[in-house]
Amino acid sequence: MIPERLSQAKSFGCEVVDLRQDATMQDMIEQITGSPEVDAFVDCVGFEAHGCGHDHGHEQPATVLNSAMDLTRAGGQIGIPGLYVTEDPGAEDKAAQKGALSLRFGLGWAKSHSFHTGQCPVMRYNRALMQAILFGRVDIAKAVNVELITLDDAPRGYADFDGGAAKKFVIDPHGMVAA
Amino acid sequence: MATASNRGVIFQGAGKVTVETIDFPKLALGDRRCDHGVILKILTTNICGSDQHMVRGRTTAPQGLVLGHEITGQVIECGRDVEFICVGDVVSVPFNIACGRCRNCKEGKTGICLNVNPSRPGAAYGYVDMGGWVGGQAEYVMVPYADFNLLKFPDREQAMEKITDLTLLSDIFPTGFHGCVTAGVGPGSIVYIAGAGPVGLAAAASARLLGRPASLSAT
Ligand SMILES: [Zn+2]
Ligand SMILES: [Zn+2]
Repeated sequence: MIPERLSQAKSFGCEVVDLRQDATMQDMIEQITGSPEVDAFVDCVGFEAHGCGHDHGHEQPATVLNSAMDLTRAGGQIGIPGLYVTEDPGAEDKAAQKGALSLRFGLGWAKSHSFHTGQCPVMRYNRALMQAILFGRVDIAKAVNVELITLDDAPRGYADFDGGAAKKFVIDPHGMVAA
Repeated sequence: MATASNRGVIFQGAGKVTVETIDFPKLALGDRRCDHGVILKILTTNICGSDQHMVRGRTTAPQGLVLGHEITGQVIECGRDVEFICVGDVVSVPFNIACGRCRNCKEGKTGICLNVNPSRPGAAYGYVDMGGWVGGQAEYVMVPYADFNLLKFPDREQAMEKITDLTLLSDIFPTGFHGCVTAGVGPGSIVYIAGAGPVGLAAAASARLLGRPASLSAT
């Protein structure tokens, strides 16, 4: 949970939920929307997820998907662009090292949720999104806070990003953009 | 091109990347000829959260791997089987490498192409277990099946003006958008987006593009 990233989301009109608070997610969402459920849920975290509130320090690879089933309305859909893996040598427990997660799948079944996994097939969308950019319908570089760096600065980009910088580092290897 | 040099970002083991001289790309992957490929002079190439998984040592990525799968560039050489992409075109490279010829590609499921990775469906540039294609956090890179994979920008000057936006078409903008589409986001939807890293923020921007949702939460 990184405060700068939340302010970045606020900067273009998102409401934000700060998981460091010791309140249930349902309560935090109800305070914003008037309902403890959401219509749609998108997991952009993946397997390196951490617990909420007092559990925040610990890695819990299933926590986002379990929250998705808690929070999404019955019949809702869950998009999962976040990465999940078949091997995770750095995981905290044996099951997670093989990509096996402790999911409350019965809840998702009971609520008729559908789950959408896998790499995004980029070319299904890239032409339409290019047009949205070229016709000024979206300021995506601003939304993700692009910072241009040189190729030689890439190691610093990796280190800053790992430290939680609320930035998207874009390398300009020939100095053709900066020029 | 015989004297051209190349430099790229190399994974050196957990927590360490360096910039090194690397081979200038060829229209081949080992013994596999890629006459359907092109060589790009890279204009922009982004650092991604999924690169971070490797650099944190959370994968079996080998030391020496050239990183980078979010590539935008200018075509400087075309293989002899490339028909429609031309030298000089400014293009976005989808991070998924796809052949355009297999059952999955024919269904539009280019993230799980069957012909580009001997170990599993789906491939990408510069990524562990993703087919061994050389990464594009570099000065130059080879893109196979160029006519199928590349998205050509209509105008070079216009593209250069919006390049920091267009560079996000190689992965995170479509990825965030796909997350929202598959979650069923539409007008008035209340959508919860878990994660406020670059993909989460791209998903949030996508949700606004798709639905002008009544409210939107990112964590
Ligand atoms: Zn990426
Ligand atoms: Zn294919």
